[in-house]
Amino acid sequence: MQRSEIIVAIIMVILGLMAPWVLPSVWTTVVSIFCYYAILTIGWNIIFGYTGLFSYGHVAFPAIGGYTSALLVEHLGLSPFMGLLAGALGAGTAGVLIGLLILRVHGFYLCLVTWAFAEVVNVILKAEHEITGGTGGFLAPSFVSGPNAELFGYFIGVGLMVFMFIVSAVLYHSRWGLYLFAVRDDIDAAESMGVKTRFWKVFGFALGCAVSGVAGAFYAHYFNLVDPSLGGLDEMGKVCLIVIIGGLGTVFGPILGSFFVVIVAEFLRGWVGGYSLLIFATIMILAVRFVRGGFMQIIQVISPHLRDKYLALIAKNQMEPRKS
Amino acid sequence: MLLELIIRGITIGLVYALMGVGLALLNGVMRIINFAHGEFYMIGGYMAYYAMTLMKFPFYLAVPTAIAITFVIGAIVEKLLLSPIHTQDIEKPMDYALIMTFALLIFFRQLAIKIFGPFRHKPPDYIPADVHILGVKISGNEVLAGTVSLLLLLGLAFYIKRSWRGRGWRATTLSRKGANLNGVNIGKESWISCGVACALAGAAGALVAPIFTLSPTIGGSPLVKSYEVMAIGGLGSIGGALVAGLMLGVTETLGAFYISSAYKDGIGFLMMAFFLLFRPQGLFGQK
Repeated sequence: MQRSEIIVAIIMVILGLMAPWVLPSVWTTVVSIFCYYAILTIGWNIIFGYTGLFSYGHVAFPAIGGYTSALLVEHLGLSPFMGLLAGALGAGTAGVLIGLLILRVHGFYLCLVTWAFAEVVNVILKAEHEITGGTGGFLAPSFVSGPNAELFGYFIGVGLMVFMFIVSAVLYHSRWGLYLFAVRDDIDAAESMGVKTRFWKVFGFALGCAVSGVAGAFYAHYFNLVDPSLGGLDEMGKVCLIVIIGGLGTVFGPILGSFFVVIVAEFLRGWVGGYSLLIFATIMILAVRFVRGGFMQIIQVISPHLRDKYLALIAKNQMEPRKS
Repeated sequence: MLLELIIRGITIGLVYALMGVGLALLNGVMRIINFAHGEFYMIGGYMAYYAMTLMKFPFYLAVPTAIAITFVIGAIVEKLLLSPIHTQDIEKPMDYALIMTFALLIFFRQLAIKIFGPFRHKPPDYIPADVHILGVKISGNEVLAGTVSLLLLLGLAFYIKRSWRGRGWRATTLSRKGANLNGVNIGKESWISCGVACALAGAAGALVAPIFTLSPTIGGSPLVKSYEVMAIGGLGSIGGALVAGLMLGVTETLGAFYISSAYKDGIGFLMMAFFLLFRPQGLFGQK
């Protein structure tokens, strides 16, 4: 990990510990939603940003993780913490299977196959209502019972988010991460250099899925409910938006994007009322139309002086020796 | 019962094929994924509704009105929003187009809720009488929807096969650069084909509006069906889309009746995943 990433992780821990005492109590829920989306998009960032597989069915994996954990905890009497692990394992196993299947397809077809998988999962969850509770959802037990259950769940969420952030940062700077980038950037060159591209594709896909499975299990035990809307197409749009806004294939991208989409949007909710989605869509359209380069291009438009500083900062960061 | 299900499946399958062909055309000429395709279906339905209730048009004027309006909206969307993405040389055009059309989906849906209201509307019946085919009673609306869809599909197939513009589209599907070198004006063909694709979706929406009622969120299911049709039939093949639409319509109707109506939407997805994984060139395509 680089110094900046360690600093950000420490800042996140401090802010996370302080938040419940400083902010009104409704914000613990908002920050927990933020943690859910941050973990979920870290998973998608590993799949699309690191490995370059455009999975459009990513939201099926938190649903799988959430239902696995909730069902096991409810019926087998597992502790919810083991449930988190079970959710990761369940989603990871599904990820390995789908990852092996999608070795056959590329680009546009990959997008459609994964989307089809997500919809099939969604249909099954809705249809098997004796087991999953159907559209109404399945009630899952919370992490601990008692008056402080919500606060406790909040700390678990922050802890998981920081942990996943560290995992993705370590992966980014490690040899494994380099293999994934090689697969993303030029698969033929990677193959000729002796990288086992098939293995690393499946590995990247399954790892991203397992991370999202943890997100789903956390969601299930924090909100005490999993329902099929967790795996809906709207959620997938949100995941795409978060990663694109924050920066695709970067360590900070998912955190930054979730911050804008969840927390800043929550601040603005009071002013815009029922028009929030319309404004959201308009901003998205304008952003893709005019500033495709993301923040970099905004900086460029606003001030050439700032851009130079920004470039110098990037160059300096890249010249520092790698500590992983 | 079986005959009735099959006839109903064929009718709905023709409408699916109409949606799928539009998407295949758009994907061939412009190389983008359009997630807002279902919203044009919704807009087409509403336009037909308002043409019939506010303007007092008969149905044979209302449906063309809906088609014309969706054509114009599609062309404007392409001109203003999509053309910069696929004409400029940027790194990942497909992803940006996907996000753009996804934003358009949310935008049109929310706008429809604000303008048309969240309640269900039902346009007056196009043909109020029932029709008897092979001893099966079918509503006139379904017969009209099936027939007009088939005529539109055949007309489009003929146009693409015979006209110069159709040849240009086919050439662009094969190779953008080659078509451009041979004098195809890609910018112009893009907005025309986008308009045509959206008009086909609008036509489908207008035709089935009296059968399924209208609401701002009806665009989701036809979007999904049109992707399934495109994947099963193969990209850019009209004959494939026609057969795939019929196959999907009949299988789904039969499956919903004999297996379980809860799994109705799953059948199409399983078929799509199967074709994408094991026969990515579609029904009639060659490797």
